[in-house]
Amino acid sequence: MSKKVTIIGGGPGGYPAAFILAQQGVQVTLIEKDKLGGTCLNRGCIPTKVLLEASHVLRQIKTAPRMGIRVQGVDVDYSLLRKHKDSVVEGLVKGVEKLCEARKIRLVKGTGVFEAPQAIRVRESGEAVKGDAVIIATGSVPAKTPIPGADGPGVINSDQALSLEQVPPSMVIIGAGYIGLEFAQIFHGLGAKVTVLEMLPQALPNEDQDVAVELERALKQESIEIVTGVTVKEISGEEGRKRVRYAAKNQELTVEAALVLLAVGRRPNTEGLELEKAGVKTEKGRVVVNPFMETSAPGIYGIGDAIGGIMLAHVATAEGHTAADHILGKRHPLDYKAVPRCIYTHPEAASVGLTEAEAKKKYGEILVGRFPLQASGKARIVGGSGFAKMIAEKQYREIVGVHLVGPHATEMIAGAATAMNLECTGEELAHTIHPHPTISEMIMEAAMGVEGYKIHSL
Amino acid sequence: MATEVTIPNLGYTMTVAKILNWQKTVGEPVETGEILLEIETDKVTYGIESPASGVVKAILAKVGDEIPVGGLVAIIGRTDEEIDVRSYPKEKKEAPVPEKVQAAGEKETLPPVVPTAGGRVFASPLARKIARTKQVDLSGVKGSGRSGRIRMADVEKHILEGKPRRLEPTPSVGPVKVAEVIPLTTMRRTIAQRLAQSFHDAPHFNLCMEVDMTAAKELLGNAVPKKTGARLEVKLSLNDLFLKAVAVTLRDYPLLNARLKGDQVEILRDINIGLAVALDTGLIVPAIEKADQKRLWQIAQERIDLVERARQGRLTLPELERGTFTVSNLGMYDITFFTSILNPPQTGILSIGKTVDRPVVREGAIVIRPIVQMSLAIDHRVVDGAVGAKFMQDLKQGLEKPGLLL
Repeated sequence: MSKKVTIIGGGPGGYPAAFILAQQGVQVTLIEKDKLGGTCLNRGCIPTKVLLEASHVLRQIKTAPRMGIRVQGVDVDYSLLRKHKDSVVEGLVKGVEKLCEARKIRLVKGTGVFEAPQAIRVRESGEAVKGDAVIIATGSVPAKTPIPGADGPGVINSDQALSLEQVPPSMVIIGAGYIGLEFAQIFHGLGAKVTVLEMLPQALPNEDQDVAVELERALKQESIEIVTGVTVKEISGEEGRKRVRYAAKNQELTVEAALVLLAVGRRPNTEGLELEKAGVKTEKGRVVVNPFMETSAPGIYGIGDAIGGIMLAHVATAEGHTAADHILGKRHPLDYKAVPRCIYTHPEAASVGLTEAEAKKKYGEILVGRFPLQASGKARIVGGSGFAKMIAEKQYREIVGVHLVGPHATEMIAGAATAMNLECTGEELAHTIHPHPTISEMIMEAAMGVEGYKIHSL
Repeated sequence: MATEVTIPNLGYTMTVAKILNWQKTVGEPVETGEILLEIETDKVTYGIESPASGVVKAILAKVGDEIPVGGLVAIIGRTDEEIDVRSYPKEKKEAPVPEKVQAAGEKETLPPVVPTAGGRVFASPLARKIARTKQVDLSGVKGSGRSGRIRMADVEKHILEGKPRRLEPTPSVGPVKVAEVIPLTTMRRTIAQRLAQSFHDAPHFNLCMEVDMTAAKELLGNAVPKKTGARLEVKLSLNDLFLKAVAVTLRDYPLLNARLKGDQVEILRDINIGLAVALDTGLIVPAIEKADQKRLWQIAQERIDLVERARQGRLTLPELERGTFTVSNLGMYDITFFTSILNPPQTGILSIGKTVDRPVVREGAIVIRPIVQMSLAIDHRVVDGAVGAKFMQDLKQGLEKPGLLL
């Protein structure tokens, strides 16, 4: 008899796990209370990238005259853009639904709640679902902040920001992580005056300092205001006329805007699952798992944002893959050493592995290979600013971190992630033939830098 | 019509050949059968003859290059023929092309990490680098990655668990100063691989015995030197008697004249006794064919010829690959006793020391007799101790009453 597996949550962690299992003959029941695709497809990666793409196109149109292309009468119909965004999302959700159907996955609409370790009840219908294993893939929700007035009118989170009826004339974004910066550029591009406030001393606090500096510089150049090292004291005022009071360098300042967007991170969505009935240990709301994604309860796995850690769609997918493999008897612990992180602003930024500071802390002596975008022939054609930076530990010159800023950085980082996953050293990448003219040559040149030489830069 | 000159396959263990020298240059006329170049394999040097008459149109490999079997090395054509060298090779030959073909003139600066002759080892570049630095032979490391791929952690675990398998020392490692680095010759590399493999795969054990050579020495002393063709005489040595005795005795012990192949033992039809010959460059084992059926004179004659040609590097591949059992004699170096490592895929090897006068007890009295000590190493997967012991007993009888052998 074939195995039965129940998956709670049909996001980028849950549905890939379901598909992998179903293809190996496992009977999968997928419980999803909303639309398939989760945050990524409905409220995260995909819709934000549609809006960013629009702002990139707009930027290209504005820079087109430099190539002799005359453009007149450009304006944005925000309601059409929203429709386009919704149709992209809808198409992708339908695609996932079709795949579910084709793979004979039993899709149950509703909220899964544990009654016993392997017994789940669907709250809405009361249906009981039993199986040999359960995967918890319930994702995350935007985090709240204790700032006074944060729950007042005109203060929105990223979910709400995507469904705004119209572009506000001005916006204060609290949090300069990748979500905050992407939204800053979306709304700035659509015509809003944007101010970003960050508590920590650098934008993108978890990223390499060079990346943060470069991005901050580029965004400021577009006249997006970014203030770092601030303490937000209070949000007040009515919708349309919000005031944010904050302290920076011992000075108390106030910024006014039509809307305030909180981009202060996300927290695991595990409330109401009644995990204690299943014997699943949690820690500050996140499901605790081992490298095979097993929770403290036998046969119950946790993946994706629900387990905290790196809250990214592709990490959820990898975790789902690991859990599915484990259920199928293939034991490969998940290694987080080569997780790419992408920021889809203009310029794009993408990283994999350690930042320079992290690498220094871990290895002591490191080697850093740098290559400026300006030295790349293709980059001159495409335009933009940025760099490639490769970090290797000194003993074997294993590549431990790659950081890219510039056109197509988010596409190119996969190459670096492949190299790192295969435990490449600078030598192999420096000798990997990269096509010319492409911006990807930056990676090869940075690898040469690690090895102590360069071709196109000094 | 141009003719391609390729590296011929000279035997089943041959995969590559090193170019030793070119006897012809580009533009020089050449006749069919004329020696074009000389190559070195793991066993022999060999002259490649021109397959056609004409002119050497192109030489595609330099002295020192290692070219796989089937690899193109030269093109012969008519004087007036226009040949575009870049268009060669025209089509893929069926000959196997090993992956390790080195581009002309390009040498890997670091020694190969995976010296085993066996299958490809999958390991990450980092794992390879660590293995190289720490001198770990990756073929002995268990990989934990997908499909058994060896990763950094596996090499580190292997070292922590105790037995890193050494490769050649690299100059900068440790407090010992290296005076000179000698790259392995093709022959040396083969010896290293084959013997390491033999020692690793075949569980050896040794049986030791003393033989009284009084009668044998008498027999040889009485033998009249014989005239053979151009040579004036062939002096019989004790070694010839050993070879003959071993060959004759082997007739009754087919398992010692056999080889293990997978799940089967192949008993070999002929008894071809290999004799280990030490050269400056390494060890080589040419074999005397059907030694059990040959007269002592013939064995002596063939032995002298094989040893001489071995020293000149002029042995043929069949001579080197036909051995079914090996005899190693270090008597001339005053070694009285030693053991050997099996010469794979053979199942037995006899090691013979120097015959020396020793006091022995005969009929209650101490007398002086010429005594030789020998040891038989056996592949225990194929042969058990009792069989080996009986073989040794029969061999001893044969040598102590040599008249029975002849």
